[in-house]
Amino acid sequence: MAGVLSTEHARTAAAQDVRHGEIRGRDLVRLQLKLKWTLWKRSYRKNVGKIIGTSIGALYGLGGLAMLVFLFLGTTLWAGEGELFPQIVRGLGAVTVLLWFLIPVLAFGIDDTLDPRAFALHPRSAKELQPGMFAAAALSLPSLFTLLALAIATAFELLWLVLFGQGAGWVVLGALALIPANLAGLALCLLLPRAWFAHSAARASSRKGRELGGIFGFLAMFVAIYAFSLSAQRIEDLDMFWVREQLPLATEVLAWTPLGALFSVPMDLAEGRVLTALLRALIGAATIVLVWLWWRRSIDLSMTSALTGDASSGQAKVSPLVPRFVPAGPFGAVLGKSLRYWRRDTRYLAALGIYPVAIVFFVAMGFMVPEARTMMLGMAVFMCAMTGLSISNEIGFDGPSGWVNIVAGAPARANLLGRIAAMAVLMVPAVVVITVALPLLYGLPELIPMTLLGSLGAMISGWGTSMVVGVLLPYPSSAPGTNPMKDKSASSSNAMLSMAISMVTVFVPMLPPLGLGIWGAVAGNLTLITGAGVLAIVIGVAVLLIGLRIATVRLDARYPDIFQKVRDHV
Amino acid sequence: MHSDPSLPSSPPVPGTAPEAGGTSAPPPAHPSGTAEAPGPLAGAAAPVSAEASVPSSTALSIRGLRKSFSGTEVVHGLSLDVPQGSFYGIVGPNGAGKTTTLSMATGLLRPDDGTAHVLGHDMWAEPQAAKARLGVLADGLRTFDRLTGRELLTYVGLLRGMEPAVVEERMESLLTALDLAGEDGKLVVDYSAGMTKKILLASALLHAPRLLVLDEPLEAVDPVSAQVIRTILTAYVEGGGTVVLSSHVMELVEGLCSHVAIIADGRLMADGTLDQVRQGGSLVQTFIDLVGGGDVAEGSLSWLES
Repeated sequence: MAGVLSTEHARTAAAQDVRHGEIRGRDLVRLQLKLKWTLWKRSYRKNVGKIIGTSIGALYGLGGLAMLVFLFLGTTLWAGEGELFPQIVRGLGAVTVLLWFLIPVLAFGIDDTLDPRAFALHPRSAKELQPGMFAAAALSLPSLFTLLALAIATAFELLWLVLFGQGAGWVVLGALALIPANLAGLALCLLLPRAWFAHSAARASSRKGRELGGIFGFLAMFVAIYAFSLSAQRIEDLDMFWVREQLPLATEVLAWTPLGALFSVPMDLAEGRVLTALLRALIGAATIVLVWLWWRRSIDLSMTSALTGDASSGQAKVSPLVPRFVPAGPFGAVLGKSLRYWRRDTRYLAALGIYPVAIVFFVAMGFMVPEARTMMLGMAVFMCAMTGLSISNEIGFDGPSGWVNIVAGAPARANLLGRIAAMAVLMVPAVVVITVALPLLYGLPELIPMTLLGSLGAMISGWGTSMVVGVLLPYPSSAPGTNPMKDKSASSSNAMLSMAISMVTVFVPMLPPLGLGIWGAVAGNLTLITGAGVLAIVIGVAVLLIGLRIATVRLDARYPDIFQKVRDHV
Repeated sequence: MHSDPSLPSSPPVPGTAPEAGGTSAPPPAHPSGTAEAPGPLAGAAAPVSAEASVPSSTALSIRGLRKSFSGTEVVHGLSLDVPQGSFYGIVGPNGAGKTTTLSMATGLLRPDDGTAHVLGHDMWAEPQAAKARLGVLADGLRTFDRLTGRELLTYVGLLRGMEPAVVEERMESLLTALDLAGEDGKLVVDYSAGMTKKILLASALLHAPRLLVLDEPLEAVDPVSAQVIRTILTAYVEGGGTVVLSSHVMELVEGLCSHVAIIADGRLMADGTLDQVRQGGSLVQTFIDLVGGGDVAEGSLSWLES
């Protein structure tokens, strides 16, 4: 090895210096921003669904901004008084921070293009990476719109200061604090969800834990939506004066929390409450520092545990694949497999979890608004019809795993019928209980035959439709275990076409019984209403048999070609 | 030295009848003498012609398979004969068309042109007969991984129309042999890569097929599991079964296979027994001669040495 060092060798030797590989903080930030920008641009390549989705989102954002302008105009220039505006600013500020936290956590997750785990192999510490990651976080459409909204708010806050400020000194102080305070508020918006996700990613969780966590978030969102529409039914009972009285108190309380503190500082100064302003500035600053450090700690953790998160998922219950009540054969095997997927795959489980939430909603709605009871019964029948469409992309849900069926030469009829049977095992008892119990609870027992038969008929018809659509128009789905809120498979044009067609084809056969039912309701004739139920079940069975036949022939002839369309999960 | 290209290009192995083959095939336009790289090999290891008739004694006969993806042809009329009882390795660089070819031969991808016969049964004309004799392990595709190993095997066995008792019995012996019997209650999605390959191999073996087609069976498998898989496959071939496996690990193929085919750029470059293809050299050298490339300019990485 001894000898004269070549230039390369000399350079190699120099590279062993401890300081080798250092990079200036500003350059690192620029690199990370560039990376984020490049990846973001490329995510739109050949992704029409995302372009459409982003455009719609941007339109909503612009609409929101316009509404904000009018709200502020209404509370400053047009109102002619300055009482309400500070409350609106404080309230909106707190709500903005809260939404920035809740929407990603409960629903859509976060854009983790620059996942810290991807940097685990590079000699960079969390401390060095963090500014760049923060800057990259600011580079997104939601943060852009929030920034625009803040700019609008800042402009109106200035206007308000000039119009309604409590003396020149306070106005100047408030104006000086305005931009730093609002920017700090935006920083908190960006930081909170990231710190939370970095924290949860750093905790080694099992596959099962992660997947079920996603489902709970999804269901929680539905509970929230239904609870909101239930309370909206009661809105006219609200005492508006009481609300007007409570609003200042609520915003005042919110402004003392880390959520609302930062945005209220300029308003406090303008009102001459200097101690309050100082304390709130302190609360806000402390929050930002703490969240920043919390985020850094989680990044550090996740960079040393890039590969964890695959901890053991526990034991599945051991039982024979084929349930005892069916013979062990291809049909039984498919039935058993489907039953297990309904339980173990979040894509199915989420669909199943929605129904209890919806049913509770119907019952509650029927009690709160008695005149809506028949409509709620109609909605329940509608829901049952929709459950039939849960299996409208079965081949797509199999995705790449379909090769197992093809090489085993799975008989097409058993392959399809087994899936329907699994759905029937799960849904028929539930539908029977609901469609009998709901009219009883509402005090409309005479409608039981119609709701029961109508729901079953619509659901059975949905199975037949699902099979045809699933074989003729399959589309790539997300992988098993995907968080239902992050499931992007429905955004492709194929998926939209497939779902639109199955929606239409499930309802067209149900038009005759629907017409008969409406006639019966108008005429007040119970026989006609019951007849509508009977007709629904007859048509449903016919649609199922025909649909199954078409799907079987098609699958027998073209399984490999259908498989190639869905062989990659999205 | 030039053999009739319509004959199976390998010498007789147990179970192979040399009289098979057509007479109408025209001689291919090979350059004589040593092969000029890159280009198909001449001599005993020369590729089968697409017009050659399908011998009755092969385990797998591919004739003129073609496939295009969005206008670009990736497999160009590939033909191949796998003699019964052989341990047949298909090697080629990444993207050479190995997986596409095997997908077409196993009924997963409809060819644009050409045929694939499994023990005399046309995969695309009588798929049920062909699939009954064939076991497949696909590479890079998920399986129904929300099932436990036992559930997956039961599923595959019953789907193939096997008797439940037979499925049960074979499943237990396979799980024991593959050292998976203790994994009751663990979903396949939670298996390691090696365990996943082993359970897929068990699925492919369950119906006792006479031909096994395995795409990268030892990719990402730990040495212990790899040894188990190798032992089982060797025993299977000794018992008269035929194995076709694809790999890009030459050493693996050289140590395991009796026959080898080299595919590059969607074409068959050479096929035959290991010795016919190697022509006295190493498989790696033949491969690089046929496929080309592989040199690193001298000194270009000198900064790595210290």
